[in-house]
Amino acid sequence: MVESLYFVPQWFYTIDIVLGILFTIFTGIVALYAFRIYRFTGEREFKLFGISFTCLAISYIVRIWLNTFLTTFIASQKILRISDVNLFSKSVIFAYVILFISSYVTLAYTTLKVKGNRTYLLMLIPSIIAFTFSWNKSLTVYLITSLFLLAILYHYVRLYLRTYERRRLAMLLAIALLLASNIIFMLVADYGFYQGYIISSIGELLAYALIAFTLYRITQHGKKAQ
Amino acid sequence: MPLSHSLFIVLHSMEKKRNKLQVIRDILEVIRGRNGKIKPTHILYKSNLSYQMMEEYLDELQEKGFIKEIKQDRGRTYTITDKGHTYLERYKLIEEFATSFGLE
Repeated sequence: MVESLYFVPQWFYTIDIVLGILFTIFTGIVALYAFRIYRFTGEREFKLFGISFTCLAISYIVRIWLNTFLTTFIASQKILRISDVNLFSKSVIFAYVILFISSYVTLAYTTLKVKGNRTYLLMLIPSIIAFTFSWNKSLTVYLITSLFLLAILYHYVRLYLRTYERRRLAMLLAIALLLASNIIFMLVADYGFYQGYIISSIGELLAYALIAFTLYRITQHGKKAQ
Repeated sequence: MPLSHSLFIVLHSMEKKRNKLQVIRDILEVIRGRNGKIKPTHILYKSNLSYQMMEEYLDELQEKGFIKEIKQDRGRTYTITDKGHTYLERYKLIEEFATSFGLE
């Protein structure tokens, strides 16, 4: 049974924690902004978007914790092994995975424009069950999130092709980068392709930089309008 | 509200379907343009919506606290609230966020 969640090259370990902090800040600010707009408008799309980014932000905080306290040093790599840890640590790993999957499930659900908790639960519960009972945890997590990211990407491509507005392009590229990073993450733990962890992290960084840039542009635009 | 703005709403809706945020802005601007007090028939005429859609939007806007209904002997009128004014002031920001993040 493959019970490792990810591999981090040792020299990249500190950078990875710094990146985790950066991702937490970026996603946290986007979530706060979405909730602020939800307060003005009362539109559920903004609330769901905020929830999705809050889940992402918390999942990154948990990932920093996992990287700091739970990774094992084996042959110049930091490895997160689910089988090596106690029950409490296993619960933290499980919480991380649930938050990570929930963030993309919520974002995919938002883009579907359907109302109903049952649809949401039908997307979320099978994903969690699949992770819980899978033999290859790492592959399952990244496969599930990749599928949801693919659905989200389809939404952004469709929106962009409708108007060709440049302001829609950043989010499309960000989601495409997150999808590519996710696919590479699958290979990292499964085939020991640990260099992929660095490539994926750079992809994630570029994606969140694009999202942060989009938010900066929005706030500047908002200031001008006021 | 000036005629040019009503014309803009009609032409804009002909060009492409308005999204919900735009419809809410249009209704609130119609109410604000009438010194903050307007009858539903005027809203219907100026906002370019069907009667049923307009009623649904008015109910929702009341629930969200953007407008207030005033019942009188000669029918009902609507006024815009402070929250409604805030929505209009921040509309550009809201619209930019919704479009950029694909939430409209």
